[in-house]
Amino acid sequence: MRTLPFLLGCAAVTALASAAAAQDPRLEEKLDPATRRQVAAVIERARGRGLPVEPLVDKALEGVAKRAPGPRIVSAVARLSERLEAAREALGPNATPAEVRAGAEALAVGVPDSALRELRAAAPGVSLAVPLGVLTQLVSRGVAVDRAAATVLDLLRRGARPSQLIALGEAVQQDIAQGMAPATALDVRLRGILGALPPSGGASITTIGVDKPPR
Amino acid sequence: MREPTDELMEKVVRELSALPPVREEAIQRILDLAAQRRAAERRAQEPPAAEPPVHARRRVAPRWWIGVAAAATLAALIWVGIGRDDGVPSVPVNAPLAAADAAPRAEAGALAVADRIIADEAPRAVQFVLDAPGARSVAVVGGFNGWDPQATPLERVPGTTVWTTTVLLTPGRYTYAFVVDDSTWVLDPRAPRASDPDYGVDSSVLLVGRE
Amino acid sequence: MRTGLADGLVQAGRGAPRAVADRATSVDHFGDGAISPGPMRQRGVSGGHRAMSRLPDSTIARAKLGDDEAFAEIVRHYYARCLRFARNMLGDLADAEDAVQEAFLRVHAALPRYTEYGRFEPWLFRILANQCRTMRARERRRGEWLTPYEPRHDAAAPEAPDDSGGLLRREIERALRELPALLREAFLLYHVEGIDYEQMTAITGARISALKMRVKRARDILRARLQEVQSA
Repeated sequence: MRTLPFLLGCAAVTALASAAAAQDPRLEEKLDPATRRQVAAVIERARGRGLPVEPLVDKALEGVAKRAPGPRIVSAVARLSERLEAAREALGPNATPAEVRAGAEALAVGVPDSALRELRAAAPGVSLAVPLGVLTQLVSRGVAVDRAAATVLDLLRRGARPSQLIALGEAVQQDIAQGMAPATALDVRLRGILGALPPSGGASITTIGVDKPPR
Repeated sequence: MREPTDELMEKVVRELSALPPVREEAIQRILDLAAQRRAAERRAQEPPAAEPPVHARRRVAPRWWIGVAAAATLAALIWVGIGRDDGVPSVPVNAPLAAADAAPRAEAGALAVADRIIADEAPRAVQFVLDAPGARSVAVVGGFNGWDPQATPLERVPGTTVWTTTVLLTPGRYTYAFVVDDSTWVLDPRAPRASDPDYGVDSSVLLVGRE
Repeated sequence: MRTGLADGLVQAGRGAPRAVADRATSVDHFGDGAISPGPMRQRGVSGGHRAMSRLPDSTIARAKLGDDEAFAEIVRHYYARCLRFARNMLGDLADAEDAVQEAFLRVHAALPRYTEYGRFEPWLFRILANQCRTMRARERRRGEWLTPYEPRHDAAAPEAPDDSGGLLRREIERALRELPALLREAFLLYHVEGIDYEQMTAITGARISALKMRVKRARDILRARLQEVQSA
């Protein structure tokens, strides 16, 4: 039975090592030790706060793919961690990882957290991953933040489905690519979709595509 | 003769001595990272807890319906529309809007709502295409595959210079790029560009979720 | 490229003196014979970083013992100068921020083993100079890989001609960038950061005679390049 203490010792050492090392084997392979330790510390802190950590791992791996220097990867992961926290704060504790990630991306392009709160209040029962993704895309293509946020909010209140929002986002960016002003592109494409939707029901509409909340 | 030269050097030093703008945010990040590193170090020195914290053990419930929905949606491949000569996306931009013109079906009851959300969140098959004459290999990298150039290689369509692959993605916004011959970062000529303030290397961007 | 530099700018070091405006000058210092600190350098540099009070050893000692407040004092005290050195070495403000961040994190990690009281500044600059070398090597590799991309530029660099001599800052920066890295490093440490040769040996590991030669060669090359530009 002398092997038991040995095995326990090994287990303890392994546990210590894994706690100190990066959380994800992909980071283990791809980051230099100094960067890995710093990224691991950020990830560990994020995990401790109940934030989704996969986006942080992805952000670090994106830096590796883009051959970014270690410090820049650490900064990017740390910034994203802050945005994830802000997004979760705005979207509420029950936000899904996909929503928190999409919320963080929206914050990164300048969408204010108040817009995230309004979207959540308008559609508490549905995933905001797509609406937030479309909002991010509209803003990054040049549509004014306020305008884009108000549009997505209005569409959500009218019960627009994710596929309709995606179609709108794609059409607008296509028009912009062909030279149309962002605001005009949004106006034109919005007209096409609004006719198909009921008028904005304000905060009473809680579930996409359903006129009354199901009971 | 020396004087003008020395004035020149004075000027050089004066210019280079200007202190650059300092961002308070950058200083704060250093302090935060240092504190986080120290905290991680301390935790690593503590004996491991008998039970991992609840959040670390949280499991995502298996989403069986994703598989079902994936099978259902595989039938309708979505062309991302890259590198084709005609410049026209194979799914016309108007098509989804036309579909949107139909008013949403009147539905009642939680089951129907769940069905709809499942349909909206179900993975879509997305085809990546790049026309890359002379390429020996092409891969797509993005948030969906950990930006790993080994993860999703494209295959050359026999007899052409066109490379293609199809992946399943849940609806949302994705950034990606192609890596040609393991050495060159290539943006999708048919997709919008996403600027990248973090790393300074732009990506292409894709919205997934059309029907 | 969006660098985000336009937002939230604060001036260096919160009350750290602006090095440039009030720098006293003397033409003697740059004469070929003047490779030891001359009067201009003594006076001139005192208008720059020397005017910042030196951090007391007790601050370093507290930081060494894990006092986060003391570490924050160190960072705030040296950040602007470190950023200046890194930007002049790397030619890009975002890269410089990265290098300085990494240098301070390395300082933070190495502080428990720090024993060179009274010589903190050379120790810090040694770590920073090493980081700048590493970054330059990585940037070169990255540049080879990411061929389709435009080179990034420093968004904060002023482009207007200045008042004296019509030299653009950009031309000075270009001439600086064309210097071999070791010469650039020695020139910046000595003339811009005002560090003496003895401390420079601790930073670079090179001998004093070699460092003097590097500084002189750097001056000669810079003069020649910039005179060409001026006469053109």
